[in-house]
Amino acid sequence: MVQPITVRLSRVVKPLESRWQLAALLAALLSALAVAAAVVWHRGAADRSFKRALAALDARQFELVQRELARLDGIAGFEPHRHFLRGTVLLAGGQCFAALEEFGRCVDHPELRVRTLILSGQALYRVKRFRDAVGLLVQALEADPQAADAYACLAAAYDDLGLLNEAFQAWSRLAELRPDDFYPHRMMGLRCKDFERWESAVPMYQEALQRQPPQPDRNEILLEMAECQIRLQRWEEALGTLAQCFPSPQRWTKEAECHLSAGRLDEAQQLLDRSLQHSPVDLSALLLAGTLALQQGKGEAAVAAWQRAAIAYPREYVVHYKLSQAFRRLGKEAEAKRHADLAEELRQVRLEFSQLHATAAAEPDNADVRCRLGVLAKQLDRSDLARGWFHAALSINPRHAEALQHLTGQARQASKP
Amino acid sequence: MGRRSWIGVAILVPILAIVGWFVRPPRNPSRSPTADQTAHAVTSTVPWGGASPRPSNLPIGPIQLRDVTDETGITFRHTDGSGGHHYDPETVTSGLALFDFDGDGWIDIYFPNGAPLPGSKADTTPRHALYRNRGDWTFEDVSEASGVLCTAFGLGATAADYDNDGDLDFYVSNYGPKVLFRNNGDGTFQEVTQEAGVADGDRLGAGVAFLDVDRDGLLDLFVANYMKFSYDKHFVVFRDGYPEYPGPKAYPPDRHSLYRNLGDGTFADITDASGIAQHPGKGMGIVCADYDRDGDTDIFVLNDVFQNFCFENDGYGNFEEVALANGFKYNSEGMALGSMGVDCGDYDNDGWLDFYQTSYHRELPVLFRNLGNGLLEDVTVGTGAGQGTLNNVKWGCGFVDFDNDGWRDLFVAMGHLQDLIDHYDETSSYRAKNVLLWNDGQGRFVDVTDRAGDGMLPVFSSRGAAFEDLDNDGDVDVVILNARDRPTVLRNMYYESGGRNHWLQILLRGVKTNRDGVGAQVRVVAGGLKQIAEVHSGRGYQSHWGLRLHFGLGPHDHVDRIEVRWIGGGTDIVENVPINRLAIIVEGHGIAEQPSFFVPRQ
Repeated sequence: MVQPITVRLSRVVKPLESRWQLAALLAALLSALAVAAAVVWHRGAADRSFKRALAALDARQFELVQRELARLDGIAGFEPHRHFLRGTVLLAGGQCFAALEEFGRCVDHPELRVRTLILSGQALYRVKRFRDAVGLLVQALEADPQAADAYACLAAAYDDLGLLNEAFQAWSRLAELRPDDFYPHRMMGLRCKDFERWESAVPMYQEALQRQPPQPDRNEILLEMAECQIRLQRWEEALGTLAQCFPSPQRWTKEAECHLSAGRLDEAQQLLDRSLQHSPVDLSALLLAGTLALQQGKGEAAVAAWQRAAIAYPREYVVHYKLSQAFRRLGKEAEAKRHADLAEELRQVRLEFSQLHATAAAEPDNADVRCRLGVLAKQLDRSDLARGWFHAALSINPRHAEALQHLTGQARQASKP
Repeated sequence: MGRRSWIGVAILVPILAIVGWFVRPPRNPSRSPTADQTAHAVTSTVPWGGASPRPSNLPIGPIQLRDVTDETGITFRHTDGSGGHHYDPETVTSGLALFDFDGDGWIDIYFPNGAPLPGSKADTTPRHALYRNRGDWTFEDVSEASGVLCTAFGLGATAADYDNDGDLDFYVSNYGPKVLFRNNGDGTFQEVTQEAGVADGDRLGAGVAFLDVDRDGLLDLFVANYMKFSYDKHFVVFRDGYPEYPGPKAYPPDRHSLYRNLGDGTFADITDASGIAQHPGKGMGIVCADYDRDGDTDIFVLNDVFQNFCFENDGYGNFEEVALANGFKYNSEGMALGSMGVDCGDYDNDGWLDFYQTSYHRELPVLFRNLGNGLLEDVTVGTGAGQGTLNNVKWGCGFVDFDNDGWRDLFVAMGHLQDLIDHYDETSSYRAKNVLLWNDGQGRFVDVTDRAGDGMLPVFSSRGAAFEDLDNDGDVDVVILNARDRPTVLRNMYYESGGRNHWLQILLRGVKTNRDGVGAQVRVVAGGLKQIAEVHSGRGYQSHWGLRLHFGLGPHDHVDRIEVRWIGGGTDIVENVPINRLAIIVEGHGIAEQPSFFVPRQ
């Protein structure tokens, strides 16, 4: 092997007139080789560093990501990777808009394109720009139809846009790509339940359970499935499901509802007592306790249960409606009227709240409607929902005065000791 | 005993236990079909042999209904006037009326029909139809001969002798002017709408009822209207790419109307004066009843996706809307439902009229128990009165004692109004089986739909349902109007299946009060069984039936006492009444002779 090289080298060096010239040439060659080797080594190290950063990202070890990011600093050709990693870290820290800026600088890199599109979609989803998120996620899926993360985020975005069919398609595809993942079936079950398609929800939950979800998801799925079975008036089936849940006030209340509906009042009473002992102001338990008391002919006890509910949930329509009916049965007309009036007022608010949801869905750029939804949510004592709607209004119009005012007010309220 | 003996015992004991469980005596003998009855049903009357479409291997239920539509000669086909535009009125047509128009003792059938709406193409003009009952389970179309040809877009109908001349007149609720037909007493009718002043404008009508609002012996007229529908405001919504009917939320409510009978063939519009006008709604089914037993008739109106109304009568035709106060406004959760039909009857035999209302898809119907103190309570879940109904739209309904055991069962007509729902909702369907709930006499209903014979197998998009003893054999039969299809006629096979419970039917004849006794409450006491019923003109889903009251008596072989409380009149009491017959009670005169047309088979 050495001989031919020597021969070739001799041919090369033949024209050279001195040893110095030969030495200089060799040195130059060696230097070039060293530089090339260094470059190759350096690139390999950068690649490895980037891969380690990605692994750290998956493991949500952001310090490690920062360290690897520092190693990539100044390496030529790795600017897009650095932007990508910076964007990812920013996204993890909730700085979605800054993240999107970084992603914008690396999205054209062929190796990073799909991931960048997916993460950009996730960032847009987080800032509630669902339509934009869908656009990027669809692009990601065009480039890589197997990108499960894209389907997961796409389903969530469709879901938030109220495009349930599209969301279901995305969850179904996700379930195919991740056959062991319980999440897509759980979500499909949950949405079926929310839209009162209880008949369809039950098999979805059963599919989710077959995929061995970890706790506490398994318990939540069982409770949700039992709720559907109760709605379907399959009391015994629901009791069977609930028997697999952790003992909890929520479980006992649902079991009580099954027994009450099946006419087993004593069992219902015992379970409700237990539930309320552990969770004295649980709304479902209090509502059921009143209903049970009425069935037992104990009007005063019903009123007592619902009054406790009214104290804990002063803006809950059904509590006041039930109280008005119960007081009427007791012949207390003034009290009945007071609660009936309050119930009617709350009913009107709920009605407007419900109608405006449809308007909001039809008018995705209408900040006023979202702000009004926030105001109504506040009136219904749902400050969590209110905050979401005010933010939604501000995401459309960052200078929306009323939304800003309400949010500031809410923040001030929350900061009070 | 040897080992083999023990093995034998081990095998035999569980077998005997299972056999014993199946053949154990019923807790209440009158509540279950007898062994004879069951055997008879299996061998001769229930057409479930061979490869027939029996739904399951469930045991025969206490009620057996047979689909005899093909044998009746009824050729009527309903149209909803649809032409692909999805106009809302298409979804709500129509109810039907069962009444004896010619006074021959056999209950006849009137089917309102839809009419082509803009964009609809029809080869022939659809018309409403009146069928005369020949008494042998065949019916003759006498629409033309009797002069009741009507081609308006029909929704509801009711019948009563509004002019107290001894025959039954009827009123048809249309989209557009409504129509009053006065019976000439010779099997023909004359349209007298304009003279009577009850056309009610061009409104989209719904349930209608005759009642005596001011207890003057003259029947007045209540007309529910659905909503202010207009083609201008019409739009189509899409679900998963399929067009849907927008529903009542898309249109403003309309006023209901009340007409006072002046006794000279004309009516005065007292909608404003009576207080009814203050409460516009989205009316569907209605029923009028003296629910608080204060001696006057109150009006119960179901409104679609809108609160229900209970117009309480002060006895003089002035009404106050009290549904919130008495619990009729919403279900137990305070929700206004997609309300459809309503009937009343005393399901628990406590002496107070209860109410049953049907509702939309994924909403339970509501059984309102009358607490007797002017309050109604939603007891649907606890009684099982919503079983089998959740996944579809519910329309016609009736409290009917199908097996004459003295406890009123529930029949619910089913079928979606969204005609393309099968394409985008796997849990529901445009056509559906109706539901039959048997009252166990202990305060609960049992879903016996799949055990009630081939009459419960047909799958249609049903609307109105009405209940009468069509063959005068002492059990109550069923007629159902199916949207866009033929009707269904169900023959109650209780006696043909060997049933042995007794019965009594009562026809009231008012003298000072209205001739049909509309609004009168009747209490029947047979041993320990005490029942009440009231005569209604107009009930269920935009339908009419039941001028002849029906009481199942269980094993009781005579009726001890009948009390009739006439609306605006006194109380008549008759005692020791023979059973298994129609008793005609004349106001102030007791029981008249049994009519010749009525030849009970027992």
